Amino acid sequence: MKTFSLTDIGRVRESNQDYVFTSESPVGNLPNLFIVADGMGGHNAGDFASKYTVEQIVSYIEHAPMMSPVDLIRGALNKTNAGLMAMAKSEERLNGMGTTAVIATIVDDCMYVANIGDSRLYLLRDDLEQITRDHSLVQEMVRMGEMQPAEARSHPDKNIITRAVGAFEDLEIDFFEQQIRPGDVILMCTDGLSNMVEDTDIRQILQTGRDVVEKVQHLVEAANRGGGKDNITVAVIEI
Amino acid sequence: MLEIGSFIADRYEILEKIGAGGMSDVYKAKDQVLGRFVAVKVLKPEFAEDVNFVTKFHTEAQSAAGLQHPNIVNIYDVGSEEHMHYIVMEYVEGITLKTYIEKKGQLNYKEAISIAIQVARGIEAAHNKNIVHRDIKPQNIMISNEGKVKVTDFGIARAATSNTIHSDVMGSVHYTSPEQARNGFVDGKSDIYSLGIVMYEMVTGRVPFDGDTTVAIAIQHLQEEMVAPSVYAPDLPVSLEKIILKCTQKSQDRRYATMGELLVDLKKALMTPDSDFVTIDSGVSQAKTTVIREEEVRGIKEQANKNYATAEKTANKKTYDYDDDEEDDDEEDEGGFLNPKMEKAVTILGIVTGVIIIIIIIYLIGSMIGIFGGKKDRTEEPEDQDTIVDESGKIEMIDLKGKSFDEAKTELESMGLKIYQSATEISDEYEQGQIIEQDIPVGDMVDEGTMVRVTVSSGKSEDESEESVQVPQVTGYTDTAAIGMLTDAGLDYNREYENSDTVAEGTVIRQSPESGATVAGGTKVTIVVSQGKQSVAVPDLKNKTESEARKALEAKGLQVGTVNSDYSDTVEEGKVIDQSEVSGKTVYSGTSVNITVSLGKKEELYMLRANIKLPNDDTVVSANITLQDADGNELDSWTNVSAASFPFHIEVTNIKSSSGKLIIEWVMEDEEGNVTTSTQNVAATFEKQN
Repeated sequence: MKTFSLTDIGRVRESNQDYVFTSESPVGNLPNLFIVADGMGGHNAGDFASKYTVEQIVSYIEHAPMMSPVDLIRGALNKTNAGLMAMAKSEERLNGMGTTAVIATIVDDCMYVANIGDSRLYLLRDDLEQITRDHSLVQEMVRMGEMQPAEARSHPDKNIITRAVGAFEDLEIDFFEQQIRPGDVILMCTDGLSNMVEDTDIRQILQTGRDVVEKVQHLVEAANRGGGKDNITVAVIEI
Repeated sequence: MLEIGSFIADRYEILEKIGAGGMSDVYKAKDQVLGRFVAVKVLKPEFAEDVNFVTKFHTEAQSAAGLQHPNIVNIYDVGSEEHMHYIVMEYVEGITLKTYIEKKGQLNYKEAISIAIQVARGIEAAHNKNIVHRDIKPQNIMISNEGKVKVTDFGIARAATSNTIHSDVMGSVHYTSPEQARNGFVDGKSDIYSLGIVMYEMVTGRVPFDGDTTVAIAIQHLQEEMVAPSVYAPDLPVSLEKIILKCTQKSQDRRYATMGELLVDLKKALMTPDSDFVTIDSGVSQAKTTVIREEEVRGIKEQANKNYATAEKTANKKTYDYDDDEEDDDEEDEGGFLNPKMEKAVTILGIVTGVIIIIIIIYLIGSMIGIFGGKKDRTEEPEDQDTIVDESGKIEMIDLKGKSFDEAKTELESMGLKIYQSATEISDEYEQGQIIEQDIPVGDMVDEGTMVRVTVSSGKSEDESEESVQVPQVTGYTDTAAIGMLTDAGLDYNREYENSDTVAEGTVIRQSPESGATVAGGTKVTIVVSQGKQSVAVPDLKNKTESEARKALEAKGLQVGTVNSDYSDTVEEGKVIDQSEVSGKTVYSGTSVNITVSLGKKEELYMLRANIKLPNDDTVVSANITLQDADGNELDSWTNVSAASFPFHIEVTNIKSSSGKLIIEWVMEDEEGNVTTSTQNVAATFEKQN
């Protein structure tokens, strides 16, 4: 297994509210752990949210007793969610903060994935397949009102998500289980990548890059070339 | 007593106690391994200590466990845990045949035959494996809620009756066969006998033999002829009556030889009930039962003695010496219900009765042929008549006609004879109280102690009689007593039947004419006799509207109980989903039936939760947000949400449509203060609420 990750502020944003964590070695009772989070909230609350979330998840799993991966991740997310909400209430500047999260762990030949929000995990085998499901509102390209230049800059498709960590009391997590074979390539990213680069290009980069490092770098470059309108975070795992 | 929630063998979870007998308690339990309900029968501790008993119990249970038949309550498991012995068996939801008969009073012949066929099939399966039930009775026959008939307590009965006497025994004696009562001997035909008694009870509502003590009832099985079932059930078809009679023959040889034979006749009876096809052996074997030879007596005694020897409480005395009658008195009853001394008395009684009968027959035949001497002259004045006794010591019958009953009685008694009033009749010739007829003709020579039966006049017929009678009070008495009273008063009767919620079955509710009225002798008094509470079958109320259901219940004399409501995906709003008593069930009139009325389909509600992020435009100062449903109706709106409030959470619940539209109008202000707006329309699919 080889892993590499990068997080990039992009070309438009003033701060990087993404956060990434990768570990090929055991974390608590899990043999490895990979987390990508995209925070939201004004006044750097988003920074705080994503960092806090990832740190809390890692800490929970480190200290938890033996449990199934799904139970571990669920426990970690629920606890973090509660913590985040409590803090959002207590400090005004943190009001309304939240974050997406994609968490993956590979146990023997099975990969367990948990997702909340619109960050993604893809599997490249013969084809590029999106494993996670986005929690954003179904989009329609119907527009009313005046066409504004502002529209081009905004990302109307992706700014409304229905689930996030720290947003609502009961957290609904999507879990996925996927068989893993040698030769598989796994990509975890925030929407800063997926909104800027077409899936076909992503696949090509993953297939042609010589090693994980190159793949990640090329992907980040591609996102910036495409506009870089949001923070870009990419993690690639080669089995 | 087991606790609710405790486990047996780590497998059966005790849920509730559903019954208790003399020797065991029965619980409803859940088999956690197979995930089904079972019944667990647990021996009471006092029996668990008896090693012999327990061994027999286990062996019997194991052999019964090998039985598998739809008409048998199947045994699944047998075991013991810390001196607690248990049997796990099929759990049957339903009632016993005993309860069923009590509720219905009498069953019609079709139903009785159907039930009997199912029971016979179950027993046949056991007989094929050489297992005899030994304790067939309506309490051991279950009728499930689906109408399936199942026999229970197979083979276990044996372990019980060989050892101790206790209250259960009293229950069984009504159904026990003569051979079982006499010496405990049981085989397949004993089960046939018991089934015959059960059939009798199904069609008449009562047992043929009853009494105050076990022994009294047992003797009746041995000796008494039963009252024919058709007396209590006048509509009983001849075939079924004969089947019952054949099953309950005192002599085993005259009964059906196998359950198979019985089933053949039962099925025929169902198809051609009025056809007389049942054959019962008559006469020939009679001789066997009335004369009991010395060897048989010996054999019977030995059998009884063997039963003694196996009893726990038997003293060291050897009881195989059959001549020592006196010792037997001290022993407990074993095997048969009768003490052998009593048995012997009964057998001797049987022999003596037989002999007397023979003598009487010979005498009657003889007197008819005139063997015993000639007639004497009759005199006209009854009072002066001398008792005429001829040389053989016999007495000549005198003329009783015209004498008052009391007069005749005094006179006959002084002659050494007896009199009995067997009938009352209207007579224009004789006055009330005078003897009209006598069954032994005047002048006949009879033995001392002979009883002559006479008919007494109740007076003249209506038109000529001055005699009037006061109608006695018969309401409140049983119908038989009432009829007796009316007849004694010289009145005629007419009996009618009616259901009554208040007056007990068989009791006279009212009479007409009323008591105290003065009427001519021989007048018919109408008595209305109670048939008890009326039973009705619960109607099917499903899918009726509430008022239709109400009408249906009231039409049958039932009441509407509580009316509940609930959602239903299948039943329309306003119609009945469920009823508290199953349709077709028999209940007393006046019973309340609760109904559940549908509220229709539960409305599905939806909700939307979303986090709205600012677009990538730092000129946005505020936004106006509206949420619409699929028809364009506004569900909620937020105006002037400042940019600082973003990411903005929205949560809208109780939405009736499953999708809608979210409209966000972004308000932007540039450095010069120009305000522009940009609208974002997003199609939204809502989530189901809970």
